[in-house]
Amino acid sequence: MKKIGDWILYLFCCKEYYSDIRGDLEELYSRRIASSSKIEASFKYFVAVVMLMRPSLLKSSRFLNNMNTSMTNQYIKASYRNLLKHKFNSAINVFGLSVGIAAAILLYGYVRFEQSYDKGYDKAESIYRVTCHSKFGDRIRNGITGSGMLAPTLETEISEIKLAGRRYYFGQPVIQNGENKFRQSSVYYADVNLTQILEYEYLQGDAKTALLTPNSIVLSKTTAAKIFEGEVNVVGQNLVVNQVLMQVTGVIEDVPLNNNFVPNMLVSMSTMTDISWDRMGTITYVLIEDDVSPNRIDEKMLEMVDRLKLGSPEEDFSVWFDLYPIADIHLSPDANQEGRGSLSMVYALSLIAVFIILIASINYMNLATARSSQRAKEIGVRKVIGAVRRQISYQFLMESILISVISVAIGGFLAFLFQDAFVQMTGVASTIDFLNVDIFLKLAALAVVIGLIAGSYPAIILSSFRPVLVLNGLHVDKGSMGLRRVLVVFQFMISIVLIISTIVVYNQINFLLNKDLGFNEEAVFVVRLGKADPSGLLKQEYLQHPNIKSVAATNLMPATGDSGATFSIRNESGEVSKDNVSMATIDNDYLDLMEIELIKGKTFADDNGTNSNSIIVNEALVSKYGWKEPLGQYISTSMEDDGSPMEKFVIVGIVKDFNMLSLYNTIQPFAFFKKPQFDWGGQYLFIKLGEGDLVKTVTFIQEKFELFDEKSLFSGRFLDVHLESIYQQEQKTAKIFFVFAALTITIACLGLFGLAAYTLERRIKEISIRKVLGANLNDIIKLVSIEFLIIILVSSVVASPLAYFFMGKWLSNFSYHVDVSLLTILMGAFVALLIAMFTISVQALRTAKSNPATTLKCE
Amino acid sequence: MIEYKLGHFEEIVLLTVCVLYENAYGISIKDEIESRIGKRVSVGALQSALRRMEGKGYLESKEGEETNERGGRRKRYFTITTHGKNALKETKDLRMKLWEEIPSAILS
Repeated sequence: MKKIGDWILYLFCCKEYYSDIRGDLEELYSRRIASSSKIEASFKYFVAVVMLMRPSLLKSSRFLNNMNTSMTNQYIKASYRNLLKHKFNSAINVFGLSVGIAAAILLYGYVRFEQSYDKGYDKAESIYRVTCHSKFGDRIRNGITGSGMLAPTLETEISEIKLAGRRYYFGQPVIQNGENKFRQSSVYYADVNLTQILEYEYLQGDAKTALLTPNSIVLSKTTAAKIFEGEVNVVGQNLVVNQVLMQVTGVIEDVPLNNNFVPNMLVSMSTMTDISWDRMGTITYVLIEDDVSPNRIDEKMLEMVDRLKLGSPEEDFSVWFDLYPIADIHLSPDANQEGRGSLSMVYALSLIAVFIILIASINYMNLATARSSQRAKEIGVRKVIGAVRRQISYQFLMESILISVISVAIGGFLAFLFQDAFVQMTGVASTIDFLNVDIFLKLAALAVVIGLIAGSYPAIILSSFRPVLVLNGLHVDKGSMGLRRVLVVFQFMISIVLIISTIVVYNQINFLLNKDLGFNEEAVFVVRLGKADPSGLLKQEYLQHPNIKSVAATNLMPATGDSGATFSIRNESGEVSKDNVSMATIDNDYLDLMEIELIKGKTFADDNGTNSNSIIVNEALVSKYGWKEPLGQYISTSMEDDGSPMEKFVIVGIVKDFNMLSLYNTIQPFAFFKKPQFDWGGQYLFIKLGEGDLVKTVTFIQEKFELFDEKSLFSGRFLDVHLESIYQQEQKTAKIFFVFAALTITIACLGLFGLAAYTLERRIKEISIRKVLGANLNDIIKLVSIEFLIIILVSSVVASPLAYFFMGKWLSNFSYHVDVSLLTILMGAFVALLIAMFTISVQALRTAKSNPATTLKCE
Repeated sequence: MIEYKLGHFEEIVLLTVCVLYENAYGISIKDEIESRIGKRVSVGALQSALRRMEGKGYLESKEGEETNERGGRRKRYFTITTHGKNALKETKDLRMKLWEEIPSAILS
């Protein structure tokens, strides 16, 4: 506050008096600080500075001296009267601009928020996350997860690393506080170093010791309030987490949403007993010395890997690490970094924001120059009286700034109103603080800039009129018509690109949701089990219900990520290679229930009990190894030195390819294992329902579940709903494109509406004469529409390749995607044409219906 | 005919400068006036009045010693000029004359 005051004083106060006045103020300030609070003193200081703004003490500025104040008043008055006189035009301009500005403000908020991720730390530039790379045979794995041993090793081995902290995903445990049970999300194991690196602020408990002892929990403020229902002091309380007793040792301030890692609950890392170099899944963060470059650390980590022999050349296994700046994670284009933001979306939305404002500004330019002949006389008279060109320009700039100031005020208000809706639509909590002084300064600057941009062209054109010509009525504005057309083409080009993009995004989503996945997800209800059910008791219970057709057990929830393992596989020509195979364990009923088609061999049900090492694979695996006779081939966990397999899994059946991961990826080699083969972990029961009452059936499922397992929390959902939710991001993108495409086309059409009205007004006599001579309504509408029709057609031609290029790029993210077909492009152009023609025809019809007698009589 | 123009606030400031004699600078003048008339005086109003009267030639100023509490800036001390004194005197004379001519019936 005081600083701003100083700055204002320095800027505006007359140099001669500055020093003593500043001295007086400082003296008062220091006296006030002694007697009252600093804030109050600063505030009074600021008020005093503002009160100092009187002409006798201000700097005599060249601007103020040269500005003829009475003339400026005159300009403002004339601008104001012009606005009121042409209400229709002004309304189009103000409406278009304010909607555009509101959209731009919201988009700006979004972009700013996306860019603000992980920038809030005091030492943001010294915090890095470790990326782990490993190479095992042909298989290279890059990712953020690694061993839990890494952090402590880095801290002791590399002196430039001040702190190394780690976290490990806990899952979604069931938490029990007395009688109340919750399923808690965003729970992580973490150590003390992590909370120090990420600068977590403890509200309760001790930052240094809270996460030391096993079974300690630190909660975020909101989570603590949720679990303990508003109890103030929660440190020392006990909670049962997944049936283990743990103690709350601290509460931290909620982590801001613009952080990449937002935990609700932290469990001390020491609770994990099996940390080793072989156990992956830990994410490591480091804080390095301020003046050390991350490349230096990368080198040192390479040396460290050699020194500690972390790799193993004999097994063709190597590892290496590098640092990634925490502030770059969110918008990282590198998929391995798992940034959840989308840089291309940020670019796309910034572009849209700029274009929307441009389109609205073009409306102003076009309408202002189109009306030029009406104002030509005014300009002529002004010039004759003695106005120089600069003064005329000034008048027009003033008008456009006036319009943009009004629009910014309305636009700011609109943005405020629609903020919540926008946040819901994008799913990004990008709230704009409208109480901030900063935002007002920015908006004011925006108003002036837009005013200058929109006003500059009319100002240049209109101020160049020659008084002799215009006053003789000889002025014809031919030159600017061409440019107006170009500008309209530009507006419609942008609108059409957005319309086509919207259609493509919707097409793609429809395609994803309707694509045949190779299995039937309809009417499948999935229940997550809390405890093992080896003998299938619950399954038998469920099968009693008349509306339940079949029940199957598996460990794979489709589209929740890859759960593969490495196997040694011998191909048709006898070479052995190591490869990743995605896998799921299933019981006998699974393939039937999911309607996955068997094309060769037999199912586990047919194979009943004979061999627990049988597997069923998909076509992709068979074709990858080129087996001519796939049945009887095997894959194995690893090979002995002499080449004999450790544990063999023999292929008994082959199923048609199906897609269980996500349509971002192509179909990978896949194998089904028999149920008891691998660790029991996160088991799911898939329940196929009949046509009967869904609600009753689901209630039945829940009741039986709770009887079977009293400790766990029931959680179930429909498979098709789950699959749809994967493409949530795409659905949001579609909505955003739809809304902004609609906005741009609306604003562009507003301009077209005004332009058409004006053009037709000028041609009214021509049209009337044509009517007198016998032209009918159709002829006239054709006559006036053809010009605009051509404009839209040209825009479509320009827009198509652009849309094709951009959407082609977006679609290339998906392995399975629609193409940007000619039909899509034509459809986009057609929609634009339809809307534009509708806009024009309203005006055209009015003109065409006018009575020639009234329009022609006054001459 | 009044030769000197002196507004009410200007008059008070000028008189205060005289009262403070050698210690008349921005803040001391402000404090003095505030304590006497019991109303707040803004730095801006005071400074512009002082500068205006300096311009008219009623006041002279010179820079004084540096002090820490002023952020290392010098105080500017104001003293009245002969011209200023004349202005004050004339204003006072005019008022006295008017006072004297008020019929006693009104004052009683």
